[in-house]
Amino acid sequence: MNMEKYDTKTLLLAGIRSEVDAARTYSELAEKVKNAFLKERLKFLASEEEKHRKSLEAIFRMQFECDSIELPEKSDVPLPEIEIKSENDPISFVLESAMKAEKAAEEFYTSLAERFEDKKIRTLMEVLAGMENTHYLILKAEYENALKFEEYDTVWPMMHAGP
Amino acid sequence: MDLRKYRLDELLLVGIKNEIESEKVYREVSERVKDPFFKNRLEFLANEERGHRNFLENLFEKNFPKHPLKLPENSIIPLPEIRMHGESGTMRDVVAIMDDAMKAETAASDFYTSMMDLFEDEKTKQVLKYLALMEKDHYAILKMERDQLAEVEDVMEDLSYIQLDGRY
Repeated sequence: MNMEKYDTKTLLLAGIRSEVDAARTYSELAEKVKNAFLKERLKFLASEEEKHRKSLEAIFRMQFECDSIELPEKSDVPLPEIEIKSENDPISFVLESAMKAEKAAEEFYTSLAERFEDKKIRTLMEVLAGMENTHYLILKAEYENALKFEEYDTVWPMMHAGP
Repeated sequence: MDLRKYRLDELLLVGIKNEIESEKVYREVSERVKDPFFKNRLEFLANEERGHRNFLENLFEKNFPKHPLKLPENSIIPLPEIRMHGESGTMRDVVAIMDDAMKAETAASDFYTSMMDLFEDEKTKQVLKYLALMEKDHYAILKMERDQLAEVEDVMEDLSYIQLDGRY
């Protein structure tokens, strides 16, 4: 991803926008799916994206010394979003789309890290990149399961995940 | 892993016991570490182990409705355990726990894969396969966290300025 033409402020706002959208999408998906384990995993992904958002907002406030953050309706940076075209989309389609978005997010944070001289911020960006990679791996595993198991998104008997 | 010499009820009880112990360790370590991201991931792993336990308990009750669900003191199968190392929560302790946990997750994955052969019901086989794959995911998550632990520990435990949640 070529990010040279964007300033750091635009990139941070794009990152925040992207985290807000991803958290919302995962939460909405978690409400819809029936597979109890997948439901919990989607909630977990949403909780991590929420934490990423908070981290980016804190960095934004420190860097630009402001209290409020006005997010753009649509990101100025073309980051791939999780695509849900229709309610009837197979879950494998949505998971595949989310995998692409997570891979792009990993590359985004890896590049963004290079913009900062502060070691703590650089490290945090690299950690975020690593976390997006884990999200990709979790989604990839679920995507492969969705293709493999005929009754993946039905209520498997006796399966009630969660504490 | 050859499980044919064990009784099914014994195997299910071993599985339940393992899941309970793994959940306990992940929750205890999550209390020790300060990095809010790592903490969240450990809680996630603990919740997934709880889900596995719930599934196995239901499977036990379905297959052995008249047997009491009494966990063995000691496991009949030598599966690797996750030992708690130290109490200080230092990086060395946490890394040692994670090394144990990675071995335990790999063994748990093999255990569930081998258990599939003991069931004829296709749905039960599928869920066991799914559990085996989830344990592999746990291994991948732990490995990533372990690999970066030394590198980022100082920074990630000093993120008070980030105010990620109520603890900070």
